Amino acid sequence: MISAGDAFTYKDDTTMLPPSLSRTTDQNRDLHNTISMTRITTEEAISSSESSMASESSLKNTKESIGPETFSTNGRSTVIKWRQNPMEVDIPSPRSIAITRKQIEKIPLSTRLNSSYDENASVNDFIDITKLSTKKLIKMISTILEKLIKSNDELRERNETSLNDRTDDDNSDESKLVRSIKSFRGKHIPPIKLEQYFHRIQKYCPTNNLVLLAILIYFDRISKVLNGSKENESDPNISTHHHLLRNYDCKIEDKFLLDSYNIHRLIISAITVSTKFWSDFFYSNSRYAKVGGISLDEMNYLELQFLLISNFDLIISSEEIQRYSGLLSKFYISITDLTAS
Amino acid sequence: MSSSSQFKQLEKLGNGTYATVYKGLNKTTGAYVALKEVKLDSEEGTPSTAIREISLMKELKHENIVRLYDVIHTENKLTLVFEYMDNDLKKYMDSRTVGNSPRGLELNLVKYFQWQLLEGLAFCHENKILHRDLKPQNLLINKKGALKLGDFGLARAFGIPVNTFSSEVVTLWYRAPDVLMGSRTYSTSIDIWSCGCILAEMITGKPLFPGSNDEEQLKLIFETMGTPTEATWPGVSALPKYNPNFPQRLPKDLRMVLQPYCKEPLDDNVIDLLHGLLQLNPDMRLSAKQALHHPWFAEYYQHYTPAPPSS
Repeated sequence: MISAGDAFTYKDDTTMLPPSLSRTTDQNRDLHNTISMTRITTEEAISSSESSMASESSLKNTKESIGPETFSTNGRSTVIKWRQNPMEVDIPSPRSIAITRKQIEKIPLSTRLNSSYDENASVNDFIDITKLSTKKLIKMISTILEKLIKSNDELRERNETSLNDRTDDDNSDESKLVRSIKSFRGKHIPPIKLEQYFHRIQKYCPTNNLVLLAILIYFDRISKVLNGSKENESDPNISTHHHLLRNYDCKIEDKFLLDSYNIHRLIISAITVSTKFWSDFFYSNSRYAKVGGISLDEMNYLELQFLLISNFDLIISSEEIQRYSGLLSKFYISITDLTAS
Repeated sequence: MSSSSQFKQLEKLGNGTYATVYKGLNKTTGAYVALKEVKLDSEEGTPSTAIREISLMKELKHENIVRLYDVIHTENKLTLVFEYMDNDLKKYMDSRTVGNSPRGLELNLVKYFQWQLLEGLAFCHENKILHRDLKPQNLLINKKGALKLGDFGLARAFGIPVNTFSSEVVTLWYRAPDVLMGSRTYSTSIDIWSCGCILAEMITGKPLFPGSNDEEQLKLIFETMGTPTEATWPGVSALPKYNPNFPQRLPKDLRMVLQPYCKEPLDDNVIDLLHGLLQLNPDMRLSAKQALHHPWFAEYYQHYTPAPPSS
């Protein structure tokens, strides 16, 4: 299964939160959650030339629960409680493992102190997104997303048969969330390439690099939380609601997968949310709707659905921004190397 | 598990920046809550203020920050379920006005409130969040004397490069001079200035710099704190709205400014703290953490958890 989450590698997820928001470590839970690396990582999504290396990694941190995770429904109202991050998987990237101790020592001390896993932080990985041209960033983001949706499209095609034999008559928690996920799916594939789509948005609703990079992080978070993985199913601490969603038997169309049918709507929704969160300057939803090619009503609806499926988890630490900048450029270099050779 | 039917909506408490707030009763627990109803506007969609308030406040769990318990989504509105507080500092101070003359709070209460304000703010700043709208209206208090930061609608995450900051933040009276002069590179010091204004206001019962527009606001600040120069504040002349023709003023003695409105004698410590918070140059302002270690609070940090003053 390939989702946005698999396109990148993860390290300790506490980096998502500012230091003092990091959860405290609970030893028992740690043991409980020790998991082996999921193999559906970088190589599949990126099919990079790098060789992959398997590694055991333990779930580094725990989840001081941010509250019970429920999207309960009572009548027409949805109660949103903070879900804990059920997945805090540390998957070292193939390349990062190859970094030698010597290389690590070259990393300035400050960098090492900032990152809990210095194996993942190589000086070479660092790109300053403030200095990157937005055009280049859009190219990088589009390339990785195109790659991803291509894989997911194929995956969906293979599972097409199961698409119509599902009934959504119950109003249970899962189906509500699944409905949120599905609301991004259009009937047809919009005939505009992602790069052009981004450029169109950037032209009429100019934003900054941070807002753009953030949407990639948000896609990743959502797929991590909503799709989860096999290992955590046995975790009794995860509520039923999530448990069900994460279930491997879960229908493919119920998963949060970026594909050709939903990517455009996800992008315009994510950009709207990200801009409103990160920038003091933003436009009206009617403008975003026009630029994004959807109706205002749909724009408003999708914006809210995006907030709900992302559980309002919009804070990103500077460490995480740096990490993603690094991963993005690493990925991009590997791709361009590939096409060059 | 809660739902909208779990809360009984009681009287209206007020209109926030983007929402209406009601008192609510949790029918299951019997506890009061504050229900902040956010209308989902069709032009704007989900207000950015609501997006920020929810995503930031759900992470901020501190006894001096109003707790966000839940968000309830119904057809065309979001309801934020907050911890209930009896009053806000503005209303509380107003209620003490006798006739036309404002009265400041007792100094031991001022100290207790200021301590809590700085504790809550230090927590925000540690978590890389700027409040950007600190003022008495947004400080909620209860009968036990607890004070908590509320209304994070203008708040922002900081510490990340490529950020577009607006200088149109913070209610005018509590807005720092660097921001008034158009700075967009401000950080935690923006909130510290507001803390200084609030401290003075608690002492005297009246706002320290009640300007009616940007220009007058700066004028009022400079009249009391002195007009900054390149010597006192390197870089000030490079700010977008710096005006070399600002009337040149010398700083006044803050004690002389405040003492006439305060019944109790103001000691050197509180005046020194005010100076630390109200530095014109943002780089010179104390941090919230530093302010908490100021000698004025010695009685608190020696005992760590301050007990509410007996009244």
